[in-house]
Amino acid sequence: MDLERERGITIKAHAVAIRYKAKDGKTYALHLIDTPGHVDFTYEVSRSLAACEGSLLLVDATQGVQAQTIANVNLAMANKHVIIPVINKIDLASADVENTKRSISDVLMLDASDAMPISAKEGRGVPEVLEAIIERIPPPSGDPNAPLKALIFDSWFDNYQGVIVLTRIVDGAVRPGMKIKVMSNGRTFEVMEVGQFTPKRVKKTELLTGEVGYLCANMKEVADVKIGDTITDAVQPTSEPFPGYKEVKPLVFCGLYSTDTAKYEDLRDALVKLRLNDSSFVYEPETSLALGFGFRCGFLGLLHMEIIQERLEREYGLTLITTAPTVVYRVTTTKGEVLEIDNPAELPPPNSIQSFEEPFILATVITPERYMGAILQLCQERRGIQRSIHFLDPTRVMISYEMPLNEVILDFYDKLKSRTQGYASLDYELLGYRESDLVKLDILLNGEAVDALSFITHRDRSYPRGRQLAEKMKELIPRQMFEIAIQAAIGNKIIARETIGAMKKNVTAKCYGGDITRKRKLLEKQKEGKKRMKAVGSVEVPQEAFLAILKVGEE
Amino acid sequence: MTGPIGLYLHIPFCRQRCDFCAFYLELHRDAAVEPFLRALKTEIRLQAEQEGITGRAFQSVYFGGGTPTALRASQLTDILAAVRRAMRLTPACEITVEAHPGTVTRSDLAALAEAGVNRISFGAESMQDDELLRIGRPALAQETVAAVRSAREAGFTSVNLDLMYGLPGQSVESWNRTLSECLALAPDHLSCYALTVEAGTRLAHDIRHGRRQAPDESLQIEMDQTAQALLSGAGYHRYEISNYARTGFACRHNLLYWTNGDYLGLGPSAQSFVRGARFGNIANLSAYQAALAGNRPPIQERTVLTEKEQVRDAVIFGLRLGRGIPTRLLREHAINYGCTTKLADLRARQLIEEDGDHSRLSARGRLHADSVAEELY
Repeated sequence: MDLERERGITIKAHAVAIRYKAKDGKTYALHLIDTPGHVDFTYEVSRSLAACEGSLLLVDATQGVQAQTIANVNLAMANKHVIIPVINKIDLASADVENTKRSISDVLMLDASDAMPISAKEGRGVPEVLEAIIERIPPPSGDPNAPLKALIFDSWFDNYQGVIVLTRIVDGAVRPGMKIKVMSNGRTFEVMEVGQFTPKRVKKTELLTGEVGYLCANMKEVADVKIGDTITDAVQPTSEPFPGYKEVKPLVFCGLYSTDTAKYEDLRDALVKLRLNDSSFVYEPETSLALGFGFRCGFLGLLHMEIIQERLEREYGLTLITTAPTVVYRVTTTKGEVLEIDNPAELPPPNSIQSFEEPFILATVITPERYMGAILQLCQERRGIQRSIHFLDPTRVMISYEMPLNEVILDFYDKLKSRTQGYASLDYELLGYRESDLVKLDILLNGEAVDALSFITHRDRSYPRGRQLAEKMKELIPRQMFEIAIQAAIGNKIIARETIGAMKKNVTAKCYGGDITRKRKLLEKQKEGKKRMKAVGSVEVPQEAFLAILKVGEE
Repeated sequence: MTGPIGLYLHIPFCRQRCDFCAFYLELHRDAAVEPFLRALKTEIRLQAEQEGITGRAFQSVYFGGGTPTALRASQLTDILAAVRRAMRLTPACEITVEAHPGTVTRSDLAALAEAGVNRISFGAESMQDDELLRIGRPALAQETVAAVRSAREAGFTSVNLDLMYGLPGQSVESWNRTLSECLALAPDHLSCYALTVEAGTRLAHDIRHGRRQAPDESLQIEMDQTAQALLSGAGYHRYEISNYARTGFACRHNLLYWTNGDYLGLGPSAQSFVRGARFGNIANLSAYQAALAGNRPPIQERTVLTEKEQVRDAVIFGLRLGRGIPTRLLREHAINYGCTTKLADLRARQLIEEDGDHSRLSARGRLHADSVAEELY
């Protein structure tokens, strides 16, 4: 994916099979899986790890251990992996191998004495790593004679062959023509093709016990073959599926609308196609008074949300308006119903709410010690409850806070990065729901509530938020021919007001040859800009204003 | 099939740059003039032979800048002679020279008139010396008075004065005085420009740093209304947003810009529109000269407009005219660009009004001409 290369991150798992002639003279088949590292994809990573016997823990020699490193090491340990620490990028001038080793042993509690320094770019140290894999990681231990039992650890959609599944054969074997069954839903398919990536895609006649490869079986949707599920022989099934399979639930929701209302169908088609490729995001139609017809979409996290939005725009040529992200709130009504609210517009009226709960997380931040003050302040501002502060070494500290997820999804990560010049890393895990004093804040433009701008916030934070948001909207909405009143309200109570004065005149005084050229260019640019505007009543509102809540408090 | 065409000649020199000016220009040096003239004459020759130009008779020639009169009158008439050698002018061709009232002499004016220049446009800007001083313009009101008198003596039958309103320190009262003092000179044409703060100018810089006040919108609107009342009372017709003229004295050259007419622009940074193509010269004197030294046109950008785009431009810029544009054209454009609802809305909001078979900006629409253009573009 272009996005992966541009951002230098892994979004989808990649598997490669190599044949390696070792120093002992024997040839080994090695299967390597590259996994994403970001917290949004923790479940996928755990399934990739479940498909393996051991892990190479890659630590950047210039960055040291990051917050997500800890989470991923814990996952590997939970899968009882042999872990081989590898310190990469030693070719860089700022590489610090000794310090990186120390942080591996201090922070991760791993034996770093035999950590392997390498430069993947130059190939330095790589043969030693391959030897270490053979020496230290146990070979697969499945039963070739047992019924087929294979773990799905990734899948994607191919226009010609349907779903392609990446799988690890634990017991038995799979070959084209075989009838297979997906254990969670009992659906059966006939295998059309199997093979491996070397890294070039190569067809094979079969995948055997212990091997990793792909299979296609005329499956139409990735939703049929979810990550973590078990594939078995339909005729002679295995008795038990793999443990640990679960349905991943989206954590973050937002509204997606096409700026051009006529492109609603295109957006829906794009969502259908993208979901073929990624079953972890969900969508359903929603209607906004302000934005028209669109979709409420759920994502695994913020990065996942950004990726999907960017792919929709890039791969499907759409121009989108997105509303501010929200978490899933849990509301118990006075009638005793429990509602899951992923859209502020659907919140029942305050007098029918018995209790209001929001998800909390345990956030772990690793940072150079000099930024500790800034981070503690940020966490406090975001209603964090301090759990621990732990010096990893004299210069680095690990800070843990219990925090409401809604404070984190807004712009916590950006703020964290900007206040630490990019040095801090963040990881989090869900703690569960807790009752909170939450209110819905509405934004009114010329007296009309704009549903797409409503959001849920803690009562204590609502006044400053409302005020800052109104101020920010004033900056973002261009002056128009009439006055625009921006109000923030909780229920019927107005808590903040800003006014955008009417533009009294807007006319080019001189309009001759060169002026005409300039004017045409300007009009062209404004026309492009207009594509990102949405008319709310008679007010033209730019896309950024719908995300103004993310920008509140920026300088 | 070919409509009228006009010729614009950009003289890129000024004695100094005024604080509000964002035009392409070079400070005048004697040594810089000759190479420029050589290049310009080459360009005149080259362009005269271009398809779409050759054989057509020019209905107007316009020397703008910069300050054309930064050149000597003989240099200007020399250019005009080169134009006449290479191109055909209509018998009634309107030939305008923009002039700085402080630097043009009586003999210069006589020489220009002698060479066939029949319209002179003076950059008066204000008739209050303190206001001129505050915008960094080296001129005195008295010079404008003298220049107009000299122009009449030299035989000019068409005289324009350029004025600006919303200047730092200018009041409605002083603007009124400027207008009255101008009317006393009985010009045939008056251009009244609202001072616009252009990015990158000294004025913009000073405003950003709080050293000068930005023009006040309400005040400028009041001044606009004052000018309209006073000038129409004196027999001047507002034929374009910023232009007033006595009957028969509307600038024929400038009308081309707003009526989708053809114009050929020569000189650095000059823009052209010929037979549906927009093109522009490079805004750099040495690059301009280098190109022409190699007999290459110094054109930097060229866009061919579709018919729909031509109609759109005719609408956008034609709406600036006092008489407006044929309603039929406006309707055609709205259908082309799917903006019939927007057009109906602009009418309902009384920004566009109809008069007979023409549509034009209303008084309020004139104040928001750019917003209307945005809606229709």
